[in-house]
Amino acid sequence: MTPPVLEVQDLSISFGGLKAVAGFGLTLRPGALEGLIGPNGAGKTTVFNLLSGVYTADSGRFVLDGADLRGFSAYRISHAGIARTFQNIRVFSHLTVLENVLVGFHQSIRYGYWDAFLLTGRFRNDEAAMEQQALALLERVGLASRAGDNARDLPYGDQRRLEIARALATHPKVLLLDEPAAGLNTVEKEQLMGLIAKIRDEFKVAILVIEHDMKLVMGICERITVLDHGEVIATGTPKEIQSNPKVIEAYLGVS
Amino acid sequence: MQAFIQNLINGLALGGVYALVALGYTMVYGILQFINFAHSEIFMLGAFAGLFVAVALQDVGSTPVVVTAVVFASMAACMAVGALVERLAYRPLRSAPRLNVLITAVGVSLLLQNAAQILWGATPRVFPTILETQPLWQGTELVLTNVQLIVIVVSAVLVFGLSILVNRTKLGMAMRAVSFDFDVSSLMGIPTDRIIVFTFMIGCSLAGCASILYGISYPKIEPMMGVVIGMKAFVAAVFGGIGSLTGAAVGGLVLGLSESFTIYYVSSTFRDAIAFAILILVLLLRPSGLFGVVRKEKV
Repeated sequence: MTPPVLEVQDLSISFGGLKAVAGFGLTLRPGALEGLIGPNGAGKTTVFNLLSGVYTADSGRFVLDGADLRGFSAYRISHAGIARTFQNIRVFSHLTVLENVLVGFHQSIRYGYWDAFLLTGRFRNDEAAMEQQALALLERVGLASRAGDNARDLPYGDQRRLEIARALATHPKVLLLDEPAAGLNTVEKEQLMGLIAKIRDEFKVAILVIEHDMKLVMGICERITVLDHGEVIATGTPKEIQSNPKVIEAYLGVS
Repeated sequence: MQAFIQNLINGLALGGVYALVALGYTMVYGILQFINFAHSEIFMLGAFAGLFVAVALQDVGSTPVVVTAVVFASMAACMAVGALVERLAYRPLRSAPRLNVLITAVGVSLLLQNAAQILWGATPRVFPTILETQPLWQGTELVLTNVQLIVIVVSAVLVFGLSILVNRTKLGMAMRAVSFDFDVSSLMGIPTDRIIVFTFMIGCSLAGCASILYGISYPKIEPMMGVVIGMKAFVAAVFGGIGSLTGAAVGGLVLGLSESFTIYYVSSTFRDAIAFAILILVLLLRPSGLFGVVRKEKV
């Protein structure tokens, strides 16, 4: 069995007296496509904030390819290979679609400040190459035709796909998608889930997705982790999760 | 007609200096949303750095070498001080309310003024003539000097270079990304602190260059020299729409031109009053400045 790309152990954080996430654990193998579900306020987005460096966990560790990243700043975690999207879309709305993706390529810059000042050949080659790659990513998510438009002019669903392209531009090993299908209609949702599965195959990236729509999660995820009140209450295949009494209780309450 | 053109030239030369300083204010505001009041003192320190290098190089005969050395020394000194100020005074306050940073900026400004007075005294010094003023073209009422031409050309080249840097390169893109959304930028792998220092350094280097251009035209150097220039450049940046590079450049030019025309057609006593009245009028009509965009507060 291949070694896991991401191994999370016992991750916890409290805000004041509230334990937002307690003892969270998860193992992602390369190319895995897994779901993170749970009722509102269960701590799903907090887990993403911990794994991407927005918050620093009080305790625990998360190891990406052998390196413990807890305590790293957000940009270094991004360099290490964890990328994410946001529940409430956060594209750079005043930049063009292409520029949004180029921002994600920032860490691939090899030229120095002087190259930029003196407009050296290396500088121009790098810039041109990155633009090509960015366009290829946009092509992949179906936004190439809108590369020159301002990101704020894109419809909602397209902005979600733009966020995915921007995250992919950072060359992630692990991609965290925070409710990528929120606010989409049924047809769009299915297209998006198809896209996510394809991205996993093509980019060889492990994907962890938060999603409320059970049908979708059960449809594409190989394994699912269920969170309630900051704690993992179940992990397993969609089938196991569906019949797990604890999960049913968390979602429906006890009568 | 010649008098008009003469004033146009004078105004452009003065406005070019304002524009370079205004760019520093607007760049820092764009990325951190506060007014770096210490920027005017960076300008002053640049002039002193240039002064010392010019004195040290007095025996070097070649004008181009001396001028280049003085300009680069001043820019380098300003970049260093700018980076230091950002690191020591502003970075620790990154997550503090903007008002705290603003007050710190005022404090840094006073600190630098007083430090300069202690080190170099309050008596004005004469900036060495590193460039002999010569008329390049002369009409009956019209003179274009080499100094004026250099000031205008250098300002234009720097503004143009900056716009390429910000709009065309990935560095500039990172600057724009950081100015729009700090958190998301760092999550996309942009080292935000580094980009911020870089922004400070670029803005300060422009102020350094401006201080030499100013010193060549008005050779009086003293610790308080930044105050008036800084205030005017700040107003130019607000007038153009703070946060907008085009706005700062245009604002500087408009301010320089309105001053020079007021001096000629009205009275030199009223030059600041009338220049500022024009600015107030524009701001009444367009509160966000000429090129400013109304920013919605992020919730």
